[in-house]
Amino acid sequence: MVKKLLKHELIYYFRSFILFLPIVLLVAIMTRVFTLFDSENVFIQIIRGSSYLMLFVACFALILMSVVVGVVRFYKNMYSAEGYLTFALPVKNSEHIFVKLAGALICEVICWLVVILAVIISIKGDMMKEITAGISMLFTEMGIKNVGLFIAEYAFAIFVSLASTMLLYYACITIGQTAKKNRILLAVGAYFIYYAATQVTTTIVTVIFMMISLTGAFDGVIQIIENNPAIVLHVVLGLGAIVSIGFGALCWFITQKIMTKKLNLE
Amino acid sequence: MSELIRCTGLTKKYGSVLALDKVDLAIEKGKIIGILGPNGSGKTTLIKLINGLLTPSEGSILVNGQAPGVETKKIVSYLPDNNFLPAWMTAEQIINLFCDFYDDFRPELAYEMLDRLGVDKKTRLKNLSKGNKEKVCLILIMSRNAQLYVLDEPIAAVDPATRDYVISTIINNYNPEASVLISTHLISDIENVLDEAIFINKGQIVLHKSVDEIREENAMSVDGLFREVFKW
Repeated sequence: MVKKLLKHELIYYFRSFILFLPIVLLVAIMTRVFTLFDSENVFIQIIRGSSYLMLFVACFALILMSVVVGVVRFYKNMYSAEGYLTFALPVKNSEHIFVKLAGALICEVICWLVVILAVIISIKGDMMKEITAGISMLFTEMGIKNVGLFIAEYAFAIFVSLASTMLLYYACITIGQTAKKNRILLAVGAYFIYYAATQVTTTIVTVIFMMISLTGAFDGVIQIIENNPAIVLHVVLGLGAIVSIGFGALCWFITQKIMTKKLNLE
Repeated sequence: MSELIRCTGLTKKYGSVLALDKVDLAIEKGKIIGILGPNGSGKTTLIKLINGLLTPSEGSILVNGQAPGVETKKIVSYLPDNNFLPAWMTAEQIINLFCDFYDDFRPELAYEMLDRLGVDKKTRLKNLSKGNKEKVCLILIMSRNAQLYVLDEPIAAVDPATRDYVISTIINNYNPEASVLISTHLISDIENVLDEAIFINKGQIVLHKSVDEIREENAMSVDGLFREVFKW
């Protein structure tokens, strides 16, 4: 059933993005073409600047759209009138959540890849060499020997972070649908309560750490960070991924529980 | 087992509002049953419980001996009281979706009914008239060879000609070994096709009898009795 659900999910995303992905790549190619005219002519410089701006806007819009479409898809397909069709299918609620998440993540990852590809296309060859050299120097300074492993860790941390953020949106939407009226308002409210709670918690934890660090208790740790930035980076990425997975699991649990016990279709 | 639905002490509360109050009900196979009651009487709540869209506050409900879930959804064909089809899909895409998820779906029957209705399979649902959208919903539901059809207010928002279309589509296409539950307050339109009638009011079953019994015992039609029972 998961395969079948995913098939229909991807049909939806394909239809939503089929036009936008080539447009972003086209803008990138246009931008690259304009960079070939290495002229001091003001007119050409304005066109070149505008094409970079267009590319930036197109990439930003695509990334934003990938998140918005995922959120709207979840709300409409699960809790609007379409929910009657969705929940009448002989499929477990956990499978619905999994497929919605998988579809949204596939879409987000593809959009990010297209943005990266667009940036690579738009940058001139010598500029690309400078950027790669800069990144390579940064890795060397930080003492990162296995660049492949670092990139894999970084990509994984971003991936689980995207997943847990999407699950947070799902949980907020699911809380919102329990209301008789103003469901979207309640969903936004749930998100702001979460946001405020994390801000307060982060501030409290930071203040506590700062107070303890004044006593010199963390001097040894600070020394280790200064001497081994690469190891610290591995630890931070690993811990970040663990926190994201834990938080995502909590959001999944909340979504599934409410979906099963307090479903309130329009 | 000839019993398709069994409710025991079935209660559903929405906060402090009691939508269903200790309902005991048994529905057998092979019957067309009307769930009849005024607006807000609990018809849709009962239907949502049958389809697993709500969970009981107290008591239990069994469909074919099982609590509503994945297994019961395989045998229940449910028509909600609103337009539940995604507007961006074409008739063909929605038929493919039903084919993928319901083993008992009969696509050839669905296409045949769409042809008769004059709806092209490549037409997006958003481009159909409101009446045709409702007909497409009904076609999909009745194209399943289900054991239980649950139709929530199928004739409430349609013109008299469409009502006839809806009723004939139900009668001509349902699996004769299955049961059909039709919720409505427009009794005179469906009275002739019903085997049994269930009157529901304020969350309680006030009557559950065969249509013949109702007519014999009260010397009036089901519609007549309904008007008397629910008189203001």
